[in-house]
Amino acid sequence: MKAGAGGAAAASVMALTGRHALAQGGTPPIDNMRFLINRATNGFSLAEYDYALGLDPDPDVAYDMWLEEQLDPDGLVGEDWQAWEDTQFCRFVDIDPPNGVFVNTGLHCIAQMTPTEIVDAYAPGTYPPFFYTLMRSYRAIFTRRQLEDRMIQFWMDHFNIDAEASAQWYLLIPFYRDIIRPNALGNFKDLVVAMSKSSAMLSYLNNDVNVAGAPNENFAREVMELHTMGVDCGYVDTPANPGGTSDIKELAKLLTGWTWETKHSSGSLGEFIADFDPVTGTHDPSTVPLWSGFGYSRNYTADTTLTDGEDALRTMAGTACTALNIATKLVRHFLTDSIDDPQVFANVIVPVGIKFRQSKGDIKDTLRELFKRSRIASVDPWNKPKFRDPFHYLTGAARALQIPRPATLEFDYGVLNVRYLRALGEVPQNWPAPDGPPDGPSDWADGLLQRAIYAYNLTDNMITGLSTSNSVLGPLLGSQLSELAQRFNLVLTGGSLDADDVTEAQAFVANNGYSGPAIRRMIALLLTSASYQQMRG
Amino acid sequence: VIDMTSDLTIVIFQAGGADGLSMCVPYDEPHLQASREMTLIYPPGEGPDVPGEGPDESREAIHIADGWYDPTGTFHDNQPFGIPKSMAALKRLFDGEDEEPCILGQCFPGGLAFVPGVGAVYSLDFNRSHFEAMKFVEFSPDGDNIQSTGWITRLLQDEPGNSPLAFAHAPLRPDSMRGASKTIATPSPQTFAFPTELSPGLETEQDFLSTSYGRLDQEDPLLIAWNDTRASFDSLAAVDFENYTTAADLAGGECDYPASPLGQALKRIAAMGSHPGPEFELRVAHAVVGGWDTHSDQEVFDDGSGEPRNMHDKLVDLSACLCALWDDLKRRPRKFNVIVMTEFGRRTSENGSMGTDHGTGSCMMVLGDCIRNGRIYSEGWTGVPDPTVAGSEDLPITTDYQKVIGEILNKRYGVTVHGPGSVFPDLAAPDFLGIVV
Repeated sequence: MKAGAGGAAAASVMALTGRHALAQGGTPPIDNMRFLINRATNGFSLAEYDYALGLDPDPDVAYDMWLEEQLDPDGLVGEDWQAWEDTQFCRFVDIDPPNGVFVNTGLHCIAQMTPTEIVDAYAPGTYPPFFYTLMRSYRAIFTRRQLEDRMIQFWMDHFNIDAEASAQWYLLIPFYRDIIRPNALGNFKDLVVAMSKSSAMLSYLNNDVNVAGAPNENFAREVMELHTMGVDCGYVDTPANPGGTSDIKELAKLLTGWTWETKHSSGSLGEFIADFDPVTGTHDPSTVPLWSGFGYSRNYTADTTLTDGEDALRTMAGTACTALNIATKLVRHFLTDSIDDPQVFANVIVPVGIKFRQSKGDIKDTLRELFKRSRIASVDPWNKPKFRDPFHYLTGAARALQIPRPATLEFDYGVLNVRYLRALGEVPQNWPAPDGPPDGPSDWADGLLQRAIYAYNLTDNMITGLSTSNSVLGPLLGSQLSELAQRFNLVLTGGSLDADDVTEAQAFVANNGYSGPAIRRMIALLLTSASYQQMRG
Repeated sequence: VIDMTSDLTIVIFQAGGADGLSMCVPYDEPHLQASREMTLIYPPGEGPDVPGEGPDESREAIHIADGWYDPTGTFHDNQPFGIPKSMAALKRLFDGEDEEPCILGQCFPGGLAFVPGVGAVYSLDFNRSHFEAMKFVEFSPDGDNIQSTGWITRLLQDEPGNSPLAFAHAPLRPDSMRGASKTIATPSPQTFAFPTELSPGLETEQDFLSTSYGRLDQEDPLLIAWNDTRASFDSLAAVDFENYTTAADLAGGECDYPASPLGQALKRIAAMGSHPGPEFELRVAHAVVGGWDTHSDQEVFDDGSGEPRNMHDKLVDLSACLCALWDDLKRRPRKFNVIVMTEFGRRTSENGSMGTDHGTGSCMMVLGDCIRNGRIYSEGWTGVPDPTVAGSEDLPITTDYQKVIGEILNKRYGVTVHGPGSVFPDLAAPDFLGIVV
């Protein structure tokens, strides 16, 4: 970076905007609020940043106030997402399957439908997963409940189910709406129990066919390995312990008979069933020893109720291994990819894990700990950046450009970012394995071309439902053409792009005569640049 | 360094842990018969009785071999093997064709071979986890550590030639290609092109991005990915995906690529691999096919109901794909190898939901015109143990998967695959199975 040029640019943009810290070349100063807005939302937006700073003259107080607002999202002023979702997703029915011609019938409120109603309204395996993707994408971009939404995505990935698996076409939306969304900022142990009893998870990981005498180990394994304790916590399976107990097998036995109503005719399709009748039921009440090899040893005897199964789930959810597992994933989701860095481990992951455990899985308390202002220096965001996963990349660009929510949802299969998400490989709940999509630069690096294609199409106003007309982009331009790239450094990231990227983007737009297409292309190049892919502010 | 006239190798990964006992079936094993019911593949002529109709042939194995070959070439006739009816299309590939082209002075028709009881012996300490097992088979071990690069990466490192040398038909590359350069992962190679530039020919926009990514650390995966992406535009644009006609069509072969996602992925891979150059020469391609985690719905036979039959349908598709690759690529000048593998096999015993849970030993298939076909290979098949004995619930791993891949890499590419610094440092000695001519 040419220090002189950067300094001058920074000074004049500061004059334009008033109070934003900017890249000066090299390592920019840490701006706590920028850090928070970048990480705790589905994408930085200058409007959100200005709103947050305006909450109090003292930026530290404003920081805490914004975080508290987000942790209590029912109190957010001006949030009308749910009303919009309810009206927009109640209008469509496909009159020409499989071509997807949608007309407004005033019927089929997919956002509120029960499994029975979805099965009645749609042909098997058709549009509900597509509607789900639309709902998730739109909500992520347009809701004011940003931190909650980031946590919803976190839990949907953590408790991943594949929309294309058997019954998920009608169970997925109720799972998202009734299990994950209400618990996203609640208590982890409650969430684990609710998730374990959900028809979607019972179906996806086969616990609905886990029966006495011949257990199906699928759910028991993954709830221990993926959802709670982690593979190296100390529980054992037989290959490592020939002839000995298998914690997987014992837990599977304990959870036999946990199933769901699959009969459409009953009207309660999808509801949880405890099939525990001693004569006709599929539950095995026999004694189950668990985790005898380490500190959480339990012996469940003659269980004839759900109590012991729920206790086992809560016990797993409360272990130190689980706390470390969740804390590591949260730090990676929100703060940095450098989870193996000793400083990040000691000063960020460990305290977050301790708070998670001490609070008995209180998700709000854990997030307060995660976003403590004093922690940001340990994260060292410029040197230990956080890569934007594809979903965050797509929503982030739309939020940064402050694209307005369309008054009326109109769509076809190319709408919004669904097809771009597909090209990038991260359609929500389209990951077949129960581990959920990965979260790091070496996982997603192969998608750079698709990112360019999305950025080009977005800034060329080519994406249905995400308008970047002149009336949308115009107000973002600032007043000086000579500061255009620096202005978009601010718009896109709060000023944390690489200063050399900004300088060269300015040269590009200048060389192309500041034409409308060139300005749009400059924005696309900044969105595709190396420094935008990783959050450093 | 690999010769430019090298083979094309295609890896088909069955994600989820495919049940090897349903693919390379030791059909007369009493312990298998005693511990499976709905998922059992019966001996030929001994299908379960359908009242009024006699034995249900759809559930019977097709006999393919009387025994297996050990690494010394000794034949052991103590275990007949079969394949399920869903894999019937592979019988011709296993048996071989009439004409016998001569390869390296030895006459052999080439075709298909099986390796039962195969797996990563190192993975046994890891609680039968999918994700741990995947790491083992894709990165492979070096002493007590899992390596940080994939085996395909180590095969192709320092290899000259234009990008892509390795290709994954997916949005994300598999771990076996981690750390590799000259590697592209995309589900749509046929449309792999940079969006239109404002100033055509000047490349100012691509140059902007190259400079931007060039400021990253040399080892940064984003820099490597961008450089490979840019370097591959011309390579992939040179491939005529749309008009790629399979040799099977031209020469009256029996199989064409199925319309399934795997079939279409393999057709695109074949188009890239058969591209005459000089833009690039694809060496290794990877396609993944999921759905093998059959805790339930491991239906291996067609009950005639017309309803989808999970594992049966997957095996029909996979077999059709292999048949298409064979009928296409064997008629082309370039030698090729196909490796079908998975992360682990499944438990011997059936669970209560017409499925099987995670196990250890599985089955690999290798296909190619330098494969000594028509044989079952093993380092020491020991049969199916009694699963009612604690600790004996799995098909034992009797052959290290690295031996199978290693033999192909060693004999067809001339690379060292054993000892420190090699593709498979944990492989002690190249005492191969004799699969490759």
